[in-house]
Amino acid sequence: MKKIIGKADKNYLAVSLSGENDKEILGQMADVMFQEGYVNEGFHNAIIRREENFPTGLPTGEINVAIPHTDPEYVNRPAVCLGILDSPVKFNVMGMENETVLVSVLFMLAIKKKEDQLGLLQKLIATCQDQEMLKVIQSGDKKKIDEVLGELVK
Amino acid sequence: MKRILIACGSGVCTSTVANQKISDFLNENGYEGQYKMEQCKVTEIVAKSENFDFCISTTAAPAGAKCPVLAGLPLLTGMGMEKLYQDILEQMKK
Repeated sequence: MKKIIGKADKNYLAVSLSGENDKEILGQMADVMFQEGYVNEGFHNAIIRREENFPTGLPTGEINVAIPHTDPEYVNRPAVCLGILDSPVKFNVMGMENETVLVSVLFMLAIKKKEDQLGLLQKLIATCQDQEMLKVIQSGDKKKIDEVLGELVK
Repeated sequence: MKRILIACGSGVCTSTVANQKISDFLNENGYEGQYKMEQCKVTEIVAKSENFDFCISTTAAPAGAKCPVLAGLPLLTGMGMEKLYQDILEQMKK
C-alpha cells in the first residue's frame, strides 16, 4: 500500500493498494484510518462485518466504486479515505443479493452524525456518478485528488 | 399526507442521501408539505412498515414488510433513476 495523501489536519487521506479480495482491501484501508486516529480499534472488524451484511459496491459505469462505512461508535473524527486499486476487486452490490461488481475506486467513510455529513454524502454520491472525475481520481493525479477530497470534506 | 420510510444499513449514511434526493424530487413535482419521511435501519423496516405508505431502501430489505418497498440503488448510482422516480410518483398518487 502506498500513501498518496495523508495530513492529519485535513480529515482525508488517499492510498493506492492491491488485494486479493474485498476483505483484504477493507482491512488495509481500515488500518490506515486507525493509524491516522480517525477511527478506533473496533473499526477494522466492524467495517468488514458490515460489508458482508450490507455490501456497498455501486455499479456506476466503466469505473465502479464502493463506499464502505460502519456505525458511528467506531469513529473518533469524521474522515474520508480514498482507495485506488491497482487492479479491480470484486465487491457485492449494495441492496442486490448475489450481484457483484468489479470495483476500482473506494471511498471509505468514517461518519459520526448524519446531520453533519449531508453535504459530504451528497458531494460524494455526485462524484461517484461522474465517470470523468473518477478517471482523474483513478489516474492517481495527486493535485486533482487533493482538490476533490478537499471539496468533499469542506 | 404520505408517510415514507427511508432505510439503509445503519440509517445514517445512504438513507441520508436518499432522503435528500427524494425530498428534492417530490418538492419539484409539487408535493411539498404533502409527505413525511423517516430514516431507519433496514432491520427496522418490518416493524415500522405498517405505519408507512411505502418504503425506499438502499440495502436489500427483509421479507414481511407491510408496505411496498422500492429499491433505492438508482439514487446512488444514477442508473435507472427515471424508473424509480416513476415508481415513487405512482406511490404518491395512490
